[in-house]
Amino acid sequence: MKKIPTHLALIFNETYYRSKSIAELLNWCYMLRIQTITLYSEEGIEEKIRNEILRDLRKMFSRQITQDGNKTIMQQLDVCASDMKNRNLEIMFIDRMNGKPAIAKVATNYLSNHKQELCVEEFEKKVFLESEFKPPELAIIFGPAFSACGYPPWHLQFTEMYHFQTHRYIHWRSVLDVFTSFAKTKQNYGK
Amino acid sequence: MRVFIRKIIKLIQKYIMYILWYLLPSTSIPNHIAIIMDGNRRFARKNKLDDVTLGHRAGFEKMIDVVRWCRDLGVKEATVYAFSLENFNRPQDEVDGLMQLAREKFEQMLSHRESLIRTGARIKIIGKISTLPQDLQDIVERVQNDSKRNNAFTLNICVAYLSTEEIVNSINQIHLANPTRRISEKDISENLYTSPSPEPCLVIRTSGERRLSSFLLWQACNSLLLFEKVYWPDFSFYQFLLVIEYYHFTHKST
Repeated sequence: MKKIPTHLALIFNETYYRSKSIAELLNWCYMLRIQTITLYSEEGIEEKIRNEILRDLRKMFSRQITQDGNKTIMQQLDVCASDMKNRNLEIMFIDRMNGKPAIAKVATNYLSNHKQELCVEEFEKKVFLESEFKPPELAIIFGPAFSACGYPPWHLQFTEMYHFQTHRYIHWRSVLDVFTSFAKTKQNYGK
Repeated sequence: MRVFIRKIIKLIQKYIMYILWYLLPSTSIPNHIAIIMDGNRRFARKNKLDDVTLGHRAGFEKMIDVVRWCRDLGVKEATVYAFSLENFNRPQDEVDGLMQLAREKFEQMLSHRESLIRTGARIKIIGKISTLPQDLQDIVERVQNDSKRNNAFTLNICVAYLSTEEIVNSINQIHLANPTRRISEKDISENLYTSPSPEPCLVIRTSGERRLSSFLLWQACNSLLLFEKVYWPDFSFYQFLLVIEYYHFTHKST
């Protein structure tokens, strides 16, 4: 694949979470060499579910090669087991408070210290610095409606967005199709 | 003959809208539709047109059609992304062509008997207007003044627009009015260029691109998104009906 996103946003617009499916999804992303993943839900994913996801993910990491699906995807991507070692995957759980309210907070803090007018470039740096994550190049939205559901709006300027009705029982082939399609996109930023 | 056929088609489309308006429950019709009118240049290239400005011209005509379809269906407001601040980085010929097109079409809106303004639409031109040529700024002001009492339908045309610039401008306005004020999410919403318009229910982007490209980032963060593969000038009445149907069923299921 020509292009892999460094940061992927997974946006959940569903009331029920299947931790195993989410862990599988994270595992595939790890194989694809994605470095950062933000898991977003408007109300935030509960602590209990978060722990279940991470537990299932750890299990998958420990028996990486044994699963049939994983074997196929690794062959497809030309990844071998040794490639998988010493690679970090950063996972962040965020909710709507990281969106618009966070922008308002950055603005208040900035203007209390600086009296002059804000400029876009400077403010953007502040927003990204305070949020502790860069804008995602790709977002996958799960749920009946194709909507960003309040994901930090400043970060979504140039994010490619895809949609699935649900995250449950999602097939790795569908996810791979999204990455293949993403790899083909070219942005010219208004030029 | 061709003009006559076109008039007949428009009349049929209008009646289909009325039938739909009666068939669909009113909650299923979006109040506010936002559109990224993308693909004009690719349309020009596909049709081997000499000049990309001809693609933009076809795009403008399509915008007028779509706005009329929206209005006939009972949609109260439409916001269209016509020209971004980043588009100033395009070749000078193309930028000049776009500015000339804007002059011409806004003048037409002011003078033509059947233009949107004369048929009751309020036109708001939003963006960093100070970056436009002075004569165009004057026309923009006239268009807005002439239509400000209309309330049947609102059309927001984003020109020299970037959502990030809009958010920063809103924050600066709040700070200017009260430098010690703690800025809230609500304050920012109330000082955006689009205020007091409601958030768009639906955002459509044509040309197959699947991103917002700094369009209404703040306002559309909960809107339903739809990415259509067709180039904007090719966007048909039939596709518009499918969009409304898509909104109707998604709205029902959520």
